[in-house]
Amino acid sequence: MMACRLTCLAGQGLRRVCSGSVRQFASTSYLRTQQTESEEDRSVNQEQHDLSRRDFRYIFPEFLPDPKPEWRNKVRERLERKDMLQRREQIEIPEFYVGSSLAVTVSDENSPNPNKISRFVGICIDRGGTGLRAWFTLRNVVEGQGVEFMYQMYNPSIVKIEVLRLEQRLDEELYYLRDAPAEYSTVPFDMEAEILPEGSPVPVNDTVVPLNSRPWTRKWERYAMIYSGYSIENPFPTPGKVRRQMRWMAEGNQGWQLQTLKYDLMRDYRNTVPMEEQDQIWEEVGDQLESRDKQMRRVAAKRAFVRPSKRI
Amino acid sequence: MLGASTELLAVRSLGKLLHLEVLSSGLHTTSSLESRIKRVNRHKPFWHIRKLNKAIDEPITEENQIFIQDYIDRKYNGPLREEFTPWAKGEWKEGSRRPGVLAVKIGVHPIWLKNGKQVITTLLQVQDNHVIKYTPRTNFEDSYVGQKFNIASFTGNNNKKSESLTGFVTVGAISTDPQKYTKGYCGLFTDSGVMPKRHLARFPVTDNGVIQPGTPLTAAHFTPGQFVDVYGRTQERGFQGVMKRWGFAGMPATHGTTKSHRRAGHVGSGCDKSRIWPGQKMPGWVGGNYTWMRGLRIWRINYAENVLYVTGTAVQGDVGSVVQVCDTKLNAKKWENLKKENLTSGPRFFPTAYEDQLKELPEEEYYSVVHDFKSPSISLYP
Repeated sequence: MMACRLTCLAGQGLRRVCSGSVRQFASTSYLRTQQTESEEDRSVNQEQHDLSRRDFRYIFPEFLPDPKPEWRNKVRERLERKDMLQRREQIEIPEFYVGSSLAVTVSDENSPNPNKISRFVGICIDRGGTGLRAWFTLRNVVEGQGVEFMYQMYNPSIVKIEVLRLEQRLDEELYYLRDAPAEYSTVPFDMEAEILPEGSPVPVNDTVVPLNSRPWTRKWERYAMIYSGYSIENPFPTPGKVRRQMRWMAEGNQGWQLQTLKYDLMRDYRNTVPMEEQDQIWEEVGDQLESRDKQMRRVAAKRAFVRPSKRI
Repeated sequence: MLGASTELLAVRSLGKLLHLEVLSSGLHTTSSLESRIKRVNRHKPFWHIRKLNKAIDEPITEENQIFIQDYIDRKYNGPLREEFTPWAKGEWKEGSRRPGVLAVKIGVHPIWLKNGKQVITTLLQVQDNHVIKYTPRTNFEDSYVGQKFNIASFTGNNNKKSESLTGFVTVGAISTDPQKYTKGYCGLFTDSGVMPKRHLARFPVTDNGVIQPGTPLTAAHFTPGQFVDVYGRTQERGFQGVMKRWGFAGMPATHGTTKSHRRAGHVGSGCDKSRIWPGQKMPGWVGGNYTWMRGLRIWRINYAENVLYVTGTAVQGDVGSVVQVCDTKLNAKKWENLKKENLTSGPRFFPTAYEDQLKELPEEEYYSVVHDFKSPSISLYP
């Protein structure tokens, strides 16, 4: 009984609820100016360098393999990372987080454009997958209709991924935007990219979204303790709703189990790749990723310099 | 008249049943009246030699351990390949058959084609394969199996379809410590001069497809774009109900159905045969049987790591399981019919790729339709 209840919880999109690994606050971007180092400090710097590369798990989360041991194989993972790096040489797959506004240009045979490409702009409401199967979902409201697109990050049909606004939100998933007013999901298609100064921390957008009146796509009143990004005016308007919530939170039931998830260390352990293996992975791919990012930054800086400012 | 013909039919079918029973008593433990659809192949053949060495655990001194290791090294540092007189290498022609390889399923990847379509592929790594033995057809009569069945060849008596097959080639994969295996099993490898292998497979071949024992086999044995058949043991699914096992429809979840949502329902009729017929489909063990997945295309080969990228996720077994991979027997996907892929003149390396050919190969090769990640994004600009 217990096991099947927990799987029900997983099905409700709460896979990321666990102790410690929900990143509520922004960390500094890994980009930092190169400092000259003396030989004595090199070993210390090497350690710091390795430790700082641990931030890569937030910037390039798809490079870490699926932790399920039945599916893991070192040779396959190595081949996959090689393919991913080769793809990253062809196209810039930028750093972005859930809540950032992105524009994706895709080769589409059904596009009315003579170049057979189509562009979609939206807020990233979720991202996931490992390796070549990494995906992210963009949401926008077009002519009053909510539209979501799920893109595969390494699909060669993607011509360009631009981050229009790099920011983070209070939650790791923003599915509650479906039940929020349209203005919170709307991103104008002609939005220009906002370039942040190098080395600055990723800003946290702490807007709290007021949800529409019921009916909702999910029972958001139950997860108000887990998601901090939305507010409900009157979560339990009738005595019936109050009773339902009490029953759901009663000992042994799903709500009670949700509260115990943050104490479940074994669940955390099962869902993470060991630190030693993570370090090995970043050692393998870190150099190439950093040099590629430098290249892209140079190109972006050139573009920013050349572009004439509209203000006088 | 009608009566006579039915009698004759009965006699013939009885004869067939008897023949099946003779064979099935050795090869299967299931009833001979079971339907063809339901025949599951879970047991190893009776002629398999006992493999693992279940010797009593004696305490062996360190000196003796070193001595044993030294003996093994000397024994399996077999005669150099140059000392073997090389066998003639056959040339491909239509209808040739050559051995396959043993590969390990290491995972699943997506790849994309140049038109933007995605293909999920299974990665099969050819690990440490060597040809162990060639058993000509004429030896079959003197073998253990041939004498037991009293059949002239392994394809049965008077089987004209397989006349071109001259024998079996045994292939082994993944070398191991000979101490773990019985003397009889280790003796299989003395002729070829390779270490005992954990897995063995045999493939029927024509005379031009024979490969000399001791030859290593790699992923270069195959050509990108060709089709292969994969033979392996399926995943275990345990004791399963009738809906998962046989695809029964079950009954409605609501509308008054009482305690019968996933049950079989009707199992037998009244009247003359007022009993359940043998072979009635019922719940039981699912999985763990040996099956063929036929006609899977090879989209990409990595020669450095010896990995084949094969269509689909349905290759038998879990990650880490060993499967046999060989050229397909499906007519539409045979070499001579692969006009679009330009493979009508057979595999690139026949019967297999040898050392000097392996040196010239690139690290990786794709079937022409597959998008290479080194090339820029797909553009459908006309």
